[in-house]
Amino acid sequence: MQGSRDFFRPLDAIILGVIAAAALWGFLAFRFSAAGKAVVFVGDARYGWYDLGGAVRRIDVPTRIGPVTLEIGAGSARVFHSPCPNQLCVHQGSVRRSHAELICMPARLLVLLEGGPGDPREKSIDAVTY
Amino acid sequence: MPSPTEPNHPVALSGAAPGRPAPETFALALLIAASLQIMENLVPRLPLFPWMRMGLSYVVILPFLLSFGAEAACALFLARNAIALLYGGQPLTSFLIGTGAGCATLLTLGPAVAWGHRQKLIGILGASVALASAFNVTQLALVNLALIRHAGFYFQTGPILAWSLLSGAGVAFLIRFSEAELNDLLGHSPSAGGLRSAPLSPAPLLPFLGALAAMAAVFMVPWPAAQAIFLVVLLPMAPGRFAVLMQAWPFFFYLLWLHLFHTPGAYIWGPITREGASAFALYALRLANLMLLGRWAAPRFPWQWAARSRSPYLRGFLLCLPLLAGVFGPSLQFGRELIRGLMAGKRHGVLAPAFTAWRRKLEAAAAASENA
Repeated sequence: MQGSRDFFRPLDAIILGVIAAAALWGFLAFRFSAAGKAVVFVGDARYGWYDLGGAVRRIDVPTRIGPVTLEIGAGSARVFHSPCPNQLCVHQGSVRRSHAELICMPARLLVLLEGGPGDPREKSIDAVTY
Repeated sequence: MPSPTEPNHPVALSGAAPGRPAPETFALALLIAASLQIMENLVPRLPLFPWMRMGLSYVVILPFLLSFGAEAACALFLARNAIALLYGGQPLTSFLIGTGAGCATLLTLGPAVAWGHRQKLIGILGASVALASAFNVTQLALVNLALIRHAGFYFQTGPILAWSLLSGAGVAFLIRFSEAELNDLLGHSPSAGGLRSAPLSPAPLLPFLGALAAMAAVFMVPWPAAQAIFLVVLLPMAPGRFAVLMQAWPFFFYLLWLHLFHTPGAYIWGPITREGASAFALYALRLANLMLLGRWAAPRFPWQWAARSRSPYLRGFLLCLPLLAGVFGPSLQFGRELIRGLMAGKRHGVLAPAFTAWRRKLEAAAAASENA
């Protein structure tokens, strides 16, 4: 059925090289990294976390003054709607850099961006102050 | 002394359509492929990567692809998986995913590989590694799409491609070392003309179709509460239910790890979010239901529809069924001989005992049928 020439042809070297490169890419591309997430704090407690990647979606976070709507996705986060009187958090706009924050004082809400490109360190929070 | 093989082309012997193997050739190839698949059970698997297997049966399937084309190779692969389902206690979910990935790979990439080999562009090594990689990546995608549903599952892409390189190369070398046996298998149909097909036990069609409809419903229903009700109904129905569920522990592990600890959302307890807990409940219950339904449905397959088939593949499958009851013990013995042979530095003919023994068993069964 096959001789030694049928066992290996020059194109095989290309196939092996492509698959080896794809394997290497797979090791590097699909990792659990600290990249891109928004951690939401309400009062003293961590409320939840959300991926910064993917499509933009709205998340309602219940606070003491009513639900605050966050818009998270496409690498950024912003306060879309808040029942607070001054609307400073809404006017702050989007944040996208690591360690950037969105703060709504009346709602005691903090959104902290963690990880992301160029920030291999997963930095934890020491304290939250208002 | 009569030759143990018919020195003609199997196509001419059986009158099958050109390019198709004779049923006897298909039966023998299937027996050997099933035996090789059992042999690789001797090699311990990595607990969290159960899909990383050598794929020893490709020692037969790949030459089948190159000699008879993608359709024949796909039929051989499907029949091998059917045997694992019927005799090896493989869960139906694994059968569906493995068969889906294998058939998709063989039917899409297979013709290109066979053409490339005929044109002397691709060697056995390249063909084996390309097929192993495509199969493993397709299987990974199918497992994620059908069962896990978490993007984090793709962290296995790198390891599984690296494994495909190793296993594909291993299979290619075994094909090279088994050249004489494979030439004999593909070029000489076993003289098993008198062999009788397995008796087919008729089964009513409705329960099996009902099980398929129920599987579709289980797959579609997105509410954990509804899945829990399904589970309560199915648990008493499925034989060996706890063993079936235990077999799938890596799937449950990934569901637990990825959904509970890596799903964004609002925290409910520690690192676990409400969305993660909900997704875990849904997909774990769904997996359990699919497996239990599969266990219930597999023995109810209405085989009688196959009795009058003229397909050489189906006829070959039915021809080798009577021999399958005794396939496990000898296969493990051949596997031990294979490992001993490789350890002792033996290369060429290292798989010869398995090839020779199954040909003899098939022909002895045919002779016994004729005498009876």
